[in-house]
Amino acid sequence: MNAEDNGFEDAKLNSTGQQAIRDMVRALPDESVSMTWRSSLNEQLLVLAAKQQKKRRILWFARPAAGLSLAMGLALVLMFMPSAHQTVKAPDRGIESAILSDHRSSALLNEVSSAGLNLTEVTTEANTSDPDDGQWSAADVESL
Amino acid sequence: MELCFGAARVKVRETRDFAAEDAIVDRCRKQDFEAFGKLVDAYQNRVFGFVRRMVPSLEEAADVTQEVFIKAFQNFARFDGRCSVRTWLFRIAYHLCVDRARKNDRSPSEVALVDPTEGEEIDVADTRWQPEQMVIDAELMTIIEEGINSMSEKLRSVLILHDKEDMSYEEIAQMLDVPIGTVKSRLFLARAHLQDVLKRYTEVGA
Repeated sequence: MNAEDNGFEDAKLNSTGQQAIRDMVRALPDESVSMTWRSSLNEQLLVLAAKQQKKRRILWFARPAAGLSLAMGLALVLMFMPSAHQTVKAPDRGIESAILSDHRSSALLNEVSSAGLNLTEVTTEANTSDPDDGQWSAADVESL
Repeated sequence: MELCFGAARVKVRETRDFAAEDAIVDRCRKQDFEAFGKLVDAYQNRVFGFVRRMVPSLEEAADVTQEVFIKAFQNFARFDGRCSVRTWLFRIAYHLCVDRARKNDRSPSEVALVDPTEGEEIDVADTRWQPEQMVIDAELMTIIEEGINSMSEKLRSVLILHDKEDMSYEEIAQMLDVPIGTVKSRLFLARAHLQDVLKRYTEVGA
């Protein structure tokens, strides 16, 4: 509503006929409530106030109690829960798993043989049959 | 000079009243029963007067008015002070009346949204300057009350709040959640409807 409309609306509301109706409505008798009504309201309010006070008292006790019991429960769970160190399994993914298995085999190799050897060499050495290793030759038997 | 002193005195008194009401409101927020009783004493008749004209029977009006104060007592902690206590109480009352009317499936005949007085002058005596001579007989009162009852709740509430309860357009707009322009339009239509009712009454009488 712009100022012009507003002014027009005010002018209409301030016309004689409208103001006369306003005066008539204003002159209508005032209503008043009875004493019975008031005492009935008081009773209802007293009941309500007592209920609210009771509720507040319960909440005053229940809130800290609930908080404390929750904290105690949490503390107990943390205290008695077995510490499980779970290893995280690396997902089996292409190059990462290849690197990991290569690292593992090289570490194993290092433990079995020594540094500088590779798996092929170890295998080759293991497979090479040394004629002198643990075998008695005819010359040895004769020398006895 | 005396007038100035008078105005100053009225201003001081109003400030004191507001301060006293603020103190009562603060105590009511803490569920102080005694303070709430004072608030009930201050507004019970006005709220009842409004509700009385919004619901069909006197018993229902008494029930709704009690419900208004019970709801106010229960929810006083939520009263944020953005509007006056009076506006807040009337808002609760208005919503309860609307709810009650819906529940009772009481739908008053709506007033047509046209200006019935358009193009014609209605001869209604202007009694503004002679309040002591303003005598409205019982029959005329009944006609006006019937006219108010035949309006829709939207028009009726605005008419009563403005003309009977002396609430400003801003307060009514805030209370009903409508623009000020809408309040003015509704007020105009409500008064026009009453003019029409009175006109028909005088025509029948003649």
